[in-house]
Parts: sequence; structure tokens; C-alpha cells
Amino acid sequence: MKKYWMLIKNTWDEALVYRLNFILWRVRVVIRFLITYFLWSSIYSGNQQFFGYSREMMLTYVLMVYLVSNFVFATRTQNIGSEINEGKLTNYLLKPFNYFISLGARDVSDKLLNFGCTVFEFAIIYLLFRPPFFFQENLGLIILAVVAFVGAVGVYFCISVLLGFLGFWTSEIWATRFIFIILLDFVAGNFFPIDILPKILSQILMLTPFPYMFYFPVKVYLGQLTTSATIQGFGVMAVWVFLLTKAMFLVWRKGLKVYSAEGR
Amino acid sequence: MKRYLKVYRYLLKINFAKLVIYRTNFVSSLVSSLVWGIFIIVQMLLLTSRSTQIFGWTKNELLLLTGVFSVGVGLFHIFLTPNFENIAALVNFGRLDAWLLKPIDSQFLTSFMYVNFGAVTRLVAAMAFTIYILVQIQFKLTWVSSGVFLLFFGAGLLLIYSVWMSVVTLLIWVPRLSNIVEFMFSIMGMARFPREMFQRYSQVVLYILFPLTFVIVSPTKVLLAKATLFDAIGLFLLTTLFFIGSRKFWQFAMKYYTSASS
Repeated sequence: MKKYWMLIKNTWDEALVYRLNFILWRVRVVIRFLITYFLWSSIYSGNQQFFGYSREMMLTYVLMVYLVSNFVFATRTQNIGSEINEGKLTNYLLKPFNYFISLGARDVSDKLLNFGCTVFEFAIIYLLFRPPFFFQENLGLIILAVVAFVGAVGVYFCISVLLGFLGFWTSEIWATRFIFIILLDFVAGNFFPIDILPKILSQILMLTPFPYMFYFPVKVYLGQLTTSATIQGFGVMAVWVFLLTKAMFLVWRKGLKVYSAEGR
Repeated sequence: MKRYLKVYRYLLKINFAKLVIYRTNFVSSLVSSLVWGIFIIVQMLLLTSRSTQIFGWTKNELLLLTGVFSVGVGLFHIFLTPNFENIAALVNFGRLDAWLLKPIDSQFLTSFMYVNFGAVTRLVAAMAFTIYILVQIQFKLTWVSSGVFLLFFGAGLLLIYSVWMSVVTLLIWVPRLSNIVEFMFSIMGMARFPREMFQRYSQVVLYILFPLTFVIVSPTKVLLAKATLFDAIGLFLLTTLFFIGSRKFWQFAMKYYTSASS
């Protein structure tokens, strides 16, 4: 375990070497959040109910997505594609550790760093704008939301790794990832809750893995899902985590067969 | 001026040749650029779907603002973005040396060397959307209105170029700050919202983003026949100040270029 701990520590130190870059990255994240927050806040300025959400619930949704997404999105797996293309994957293959655990270790470091900053930023935003935030008092729902939150991390991790593994077959991976990130705003509930869409569309989306990254954990926290919808949600999420994990290992094995360590 | 136009014509040809060589990359750019353009429009359509007015702007006015923003950003991504993205590497690896040795203005070359034809889909989609909204609001096209709009729009683009140029010039001192380009994309995204949005929530944010609130809002107001003297003076004054400032800053920065790694 010590070697993975060192990996976590190294990733942390690495991020802090380029401190100004990191600060700019955080400022950028805050700006993106403020745009969404200002927009929704303005839409609710003259309305108490909109899309079936009160102002308090919608702004809590937006703030919670900000917290969740900063943890879920914080990952080093976006580098996998270029590491494969540049032959840097060999460095990991030659070292005496499990590649997937090493990815996880690097992610833990990135997530801790980003989440720490997010909590700090959240506190500042809360003090500056005093948004109407809904604090969930039901401990059961908070525990369920944390479980959903962990599942969300798993879903995003698997999809992000799978996108990176495209690098085994092509060097043109940035566009796929770029389109995926944009689509997440719509289909994962990053920009708005899925249930404001037409019912049939939101029902179809709930069968895909995307809403389980942001929308589902936040809805569980808000306590806006019925018991059956919560059970169904956790069921679908578990199936996706299982299928995506299987796919990830399958693609990894296939990919290694064609990996040529180009440039090494 | 004639010489620079001739050089730019050659640069366009070279970039077009590169496009033919890296076809997959070009197709990827076309698709991703279009998806991003559509995202911006759908986002605004969704936000305005249940409201008649936001920040004192009607639904169609906000959609027109989004359309004009997308046209501006489309042009920016075709002609300027690839160059700003390249500056960090130019400085970091000392490649700027070769450019400084050429008998042509270094700021011109740094700003216009590369062209990303892949972003053209976004521009076309944005133009089609803007024209559609103009038809919806029964815009009366006259030579005067078109001319004034183009003047304001051109000034807006020059202003955003100058703001970008001023910021990326910092890379001469801190070439490892490659994140600055991503940061500027987020800042530029703010230009697609009315000034009133920032005014209502945070005066501090408004002061920081003040120049950007003129880039797209002022030309759009011209199309809506709502431009005030404040919009006009603000835009042209800021454009002049920032353009001269960015030019002086670049020249000043060149004195500190250390030609690393070469």
C-alpha cells in the first residue's frame, strides 16, 4: 500500500508545483459556476415556481452540482489517451504496481485537492451571495446521497478511462472527450435537472449512465425522489458500474495487444 | 498594409494545405465546434423557454445576443484561438526566436500565423441562427443599420483581441502558465450575457468584466435599435485604449524575452 500512498503524495506535490496554473484552473471553475448561478437566480427573480422547482430547491440543486461535479470531475484519467499515444504508458507497465489502482491513487489525490478548494470556494460564495440553500436534515437521505455520490465517482471514472483507452486505436481522442464533456451538461444534469425535460426524454436518460454522475446523487440529497425511484436509481447505477467496469478491463486487455509503445 | 495582406493570403494557403493533410483532425474540429455552438444556443433556448423577460431583455433579444456572440466566437476560434493557444509553447521552447528574425511585425505573426478552419461549422450555424432570429424580430435591413452594426461588431472583436493579447503577453515572463488560455475562454464566455446580469449580483464582477460587457452587447443593441451613447462611447473608447495598451505591452514584453532552450 505504501507505493500507492507515495503515488497519492507525488500527484499532490505535482499539482502544487504549478500553483498559478492550479489557481487559474480554480478561478475558471468558479466563473463557470457563477454564470450558471446568476442565470438561474435571474430566472427565478420574479417567479416562485419554475419547472416544478422552487427558487430554494433550484439554487440548492445548482450549488450541490457544483460540489459534486468538482469531486467527480477531478481526475487524472484524461491524460490516459496522450500517455498511450506518446508511449508513456510503458513507464507504468514496467513499474511493480497495478495500473488501475495507480490510476485510482492519482485520482484520490486530485479529488482531495479539488474538493478541498471547492469547500473553501463554496464557503466564500455562500458568504458573498447568501443563496437560499436547503440543508437536508434526514440522516438516512444524507447517507444514501453519499452512497450515490461514491457510485457517481465510479461511473465517471470508468467512462473517462474508457475514453482514454481509445488512444490504443487512434490519436484523435480529444474531440470525443470534448463532445462528451459538453453533452454531460445536458444529459447528466450538470447545467439543469433532468426532470425539467419532457417526461419521456428524462425517462430514457435515466436508463443511461449519465444522470448518475450528478443528477441522481443531488436528487437523493434533496429528498425529491420516491422510494421506488430511489431503489430503481440505485439498481440502474449498480448495473452501469458493473457493465462499465467489465468493459474497462476488456478494452484494456484488447488495447494492450495493439499497444506499440510508439516513440519509445 | 498591402504587404501584410499578401503575407496573410499565403498564411491562409499554408493553413489550408495543413487541413488537407490532417483530415481526421479537421473532421473532429468540425464536429466538436458544431456541438459546442449548438450547446450555447440550446442553453439559452432552455433558459428562456418559460420566461418572457430576463435582465430586462426579451426572449428574442437574448437569443439574438447569443447568436451574435456565437458568430463573434466562431470568427475568433477560426482566426485567433489557435495562435493564442500556441504562444506558451512558442515562448517555452524558444521558437519565438525564429519569428523575431523575420522581417515582419512579431505581434502580427504571433496573432495570425495559424488558422483553424475546423471552427467554420460553428460560424455557419451561428450565422444561420442569427439570421433566423432577425427574421423573427422583423429586423429591417438597411445599408446604414448593416454598416453601423459591422462597425460596432468589428470594434467588439478588436476589443476582445486586445484583451486576450494583453493577457497572453504575460506568457513571455511565465511561459508555463499554459492554463491562461483556458481561463480566458471562460472569461470570454461572460460576454454572451447582458451587463445587467453582473450589475444585479456583483459590482465587483461587473468592474472586472466591464470591457467584456461591451464586446457583444453593444453590436447587438445596434441591431435592436437600442444602442445608447454609453454603449457606443464605451465600446470605442475601450477598444482604442486596450488596443494601444496591448500593442505597447507586447513591445515592452519583447525586451524581456530570454529565448529559452535555443
